[in-house]
Amino acid sequence: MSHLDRFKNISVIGAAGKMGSGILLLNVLHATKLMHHAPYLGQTFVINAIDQDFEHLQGLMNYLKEQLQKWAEKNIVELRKLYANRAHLIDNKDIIEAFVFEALSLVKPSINMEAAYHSTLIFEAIIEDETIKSSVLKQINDNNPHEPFFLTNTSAIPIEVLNQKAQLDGRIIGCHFYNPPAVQKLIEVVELKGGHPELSKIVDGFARHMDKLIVPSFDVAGFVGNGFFMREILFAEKMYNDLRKELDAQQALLITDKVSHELMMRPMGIFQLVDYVGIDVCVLIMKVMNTYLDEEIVSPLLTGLLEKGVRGGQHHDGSQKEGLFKYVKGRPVELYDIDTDKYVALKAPASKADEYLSVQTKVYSWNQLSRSKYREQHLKEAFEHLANEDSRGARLLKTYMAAMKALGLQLKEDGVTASTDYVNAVMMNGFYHLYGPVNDYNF
Amino acid sequence: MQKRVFIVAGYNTVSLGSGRSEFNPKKENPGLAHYIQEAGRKVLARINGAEHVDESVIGNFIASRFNNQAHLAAFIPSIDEKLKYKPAIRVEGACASGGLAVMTGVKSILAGTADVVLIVGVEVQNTVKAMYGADFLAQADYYPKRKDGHAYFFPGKFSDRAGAYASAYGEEYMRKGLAQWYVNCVENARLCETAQEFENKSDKLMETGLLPPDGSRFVDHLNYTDCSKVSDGASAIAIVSEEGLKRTGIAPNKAIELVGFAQAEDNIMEEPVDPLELSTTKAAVNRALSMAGIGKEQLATVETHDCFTIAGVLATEAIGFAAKGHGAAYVAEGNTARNGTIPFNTTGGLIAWGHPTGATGVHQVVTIWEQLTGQAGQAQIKVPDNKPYGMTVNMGGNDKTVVSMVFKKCK
Repeated sequence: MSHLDRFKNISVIGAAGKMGSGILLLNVLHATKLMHHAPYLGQTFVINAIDQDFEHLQGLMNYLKEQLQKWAEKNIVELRKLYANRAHLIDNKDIIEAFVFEALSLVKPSINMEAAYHSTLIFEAIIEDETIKSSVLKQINDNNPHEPFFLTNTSAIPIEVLNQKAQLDGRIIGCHFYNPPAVQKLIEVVELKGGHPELSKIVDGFARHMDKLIVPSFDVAGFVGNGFFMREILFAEKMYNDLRKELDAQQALLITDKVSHELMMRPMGIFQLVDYVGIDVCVLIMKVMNTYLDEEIVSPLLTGLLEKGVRGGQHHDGSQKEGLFKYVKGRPVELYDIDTDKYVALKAPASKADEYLSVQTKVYSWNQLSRSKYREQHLKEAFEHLANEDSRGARLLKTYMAAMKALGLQLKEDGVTASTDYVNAVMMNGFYHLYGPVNDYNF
Repeated sequence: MQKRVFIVAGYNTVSLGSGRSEFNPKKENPGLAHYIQEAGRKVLARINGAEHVDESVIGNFIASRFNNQAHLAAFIPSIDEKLKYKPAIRVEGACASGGLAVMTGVKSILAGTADVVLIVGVEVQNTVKAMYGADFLAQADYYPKRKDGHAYFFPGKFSDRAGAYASAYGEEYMRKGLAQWYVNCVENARLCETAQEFENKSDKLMETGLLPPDGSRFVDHLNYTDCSKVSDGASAIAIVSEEGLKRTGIAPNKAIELVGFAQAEDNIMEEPVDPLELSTTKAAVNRALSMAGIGKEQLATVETHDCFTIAGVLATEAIGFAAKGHGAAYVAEGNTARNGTIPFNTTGGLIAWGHPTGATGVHQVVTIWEQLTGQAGQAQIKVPDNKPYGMTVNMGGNDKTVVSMVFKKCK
């Protein structure tokens, strides 16, 4: 069986979830590309979308339709060429409708795991729980006569653990997509030592077809992405705790967030990112990493929030749930006050935080820089000024930047990655940072 | 001409679409009735009332697709109840619908069936996304060709012309001309409050215009900046006889006189004879100038149908300002800029003022009327005494229907 033949019958487990739905969409687009070219013209493709209940699957199909329509509209030039030999499809509208119909027809929604018993490729994107994951993978493997290949979207559990527990005989690879998978270019790939050699070729081919960037990581819990992110949360929490010695909770939290956002010129601050990913997800990933690493990765701050029911994460429509911040149209407007367990308007504490930071250097917003072709120059100049500035904000920034660099270097030293370039690549492509943590800025 | 024909009381609505800060494609925008009424009422106020109007003509290309609305002549009485039961007609000739509307009104004056004709041109296109709008606009060509056409059909057609031009005379040579055309248009639009690019503040217009096209995302030989805008809007004007001029009480120096006109038609089922030439435009322009009894050197300004920058460059050749193949250099050297030898499209043209298709031919006449009567505001150019003429060139489809008119300043 060729690598591409394996894509003729695939299953996405956890398809209605945040990651699963994106992975499903990517696979639908991949299959529609294949089926229009020899040798797959006229052949049957099956994509099983498996999840726990019909309600979520119904939502998934609506999401898919909307996304496929958007994709088709954006790629109408390419699509018109693809449908050139279909004489009755004349207008763009005809072609877009035909494409969406055909693409959706590939998807077979199901609540039964049995649907995956005929698949040759299994994409797994279920809860980050070793026992549940390995049990699902084992069930499919035990009942599937095709010796399927498994691509797990785990962002923290060592692949070797899943391989052993599910008895997959090396037919598994870590294929960690970033949210949202259809948009984010990065796939962090974790090869199993002694794993099936064809797996990495399949992932390479898939990534190439879908214009994705692969960054390899070694099989160490958390890999590069969460290995960095979770430890950064712990660092930010330490900064928060240090600030608490002189400031109230609102100020300590906001100042830490502002340093990691505005002064570091990132798309969002560390605590907003925690909200985006989900406080519950972060706590779960830390728990997983804690299980496999000789290092205490625990966040009393996030655990405490979770106990109070502050969870973050996103609604099914992609809008942001309340977490450390409350959001309107994706923008934080209120801040959770840990001392009083109430949300307070952001404006006044934000001004107070700016006053505390008292930064003199003109820093650019991430939005400005991400569109500027003079980005490198602006970053260099701004960081040079900040490195020479003696404000509270500049001092906090220096501490934060130095800690991030140390984190990146530590990941290489701990054998999580072969190069700090990969750390930079993950943070820049997966987290949209404009520069990597291991950099030459003078901090 | 057996009778004198005058143009008075022009009005343009805003050309609404991307580029205008008040435009939000996700919200409901004004519809056909809004634009027809706004433009029509302004003209009626300027001619001192609807009672003076004998007939009306409305130009529109394809509201039946963009707005699911046909039978537009019946919107005319909604402008003013005094227009109820008076004659009104809708005319269509793709993007030349506006020019045809003006021509139709002129013929009524010449035929003696009317002394005052209200002309309205309208199109509302932002009701669908561009790739669906492209389907509708493709109907300006022979529909059986649609299947083999580009997703963005007309950009594809004029990209083919640009490709032929680049092959014949050089890519870089052509690109400089197209980029300069774009720069001129935006700079002119910045002087006109109703223009779609009025708020364009870019200081990198030339840099943007010189970017190489990306055929994988759009068409092979044109950029987005080489294309006219997707626009909503209306333009209106009144055409009057000498009797009509007296009846409306408009001072002669606020009128311009139509001294030459021509309409030319080519076979829609055939490809252009020569992609390097706008042959139908050439035929119409020559006849209009001949009827006016003037040479192109006597024109103070031209409003030409730059649905694409390459159409602007080719128009300079079709009119005869530049020899064949020299249009790009003629434009690049600044001859068509507002301070050049012959200012073209002084409020931004289709590229930057906007292109509400059915309104465009009327908008061109309004612009010439503004310029020749000194009412163009910030966009006003100098009209020398020895060059009291202005010309319009309104094109439908790929140079298939063309209306050209020559106007003279009145004293």
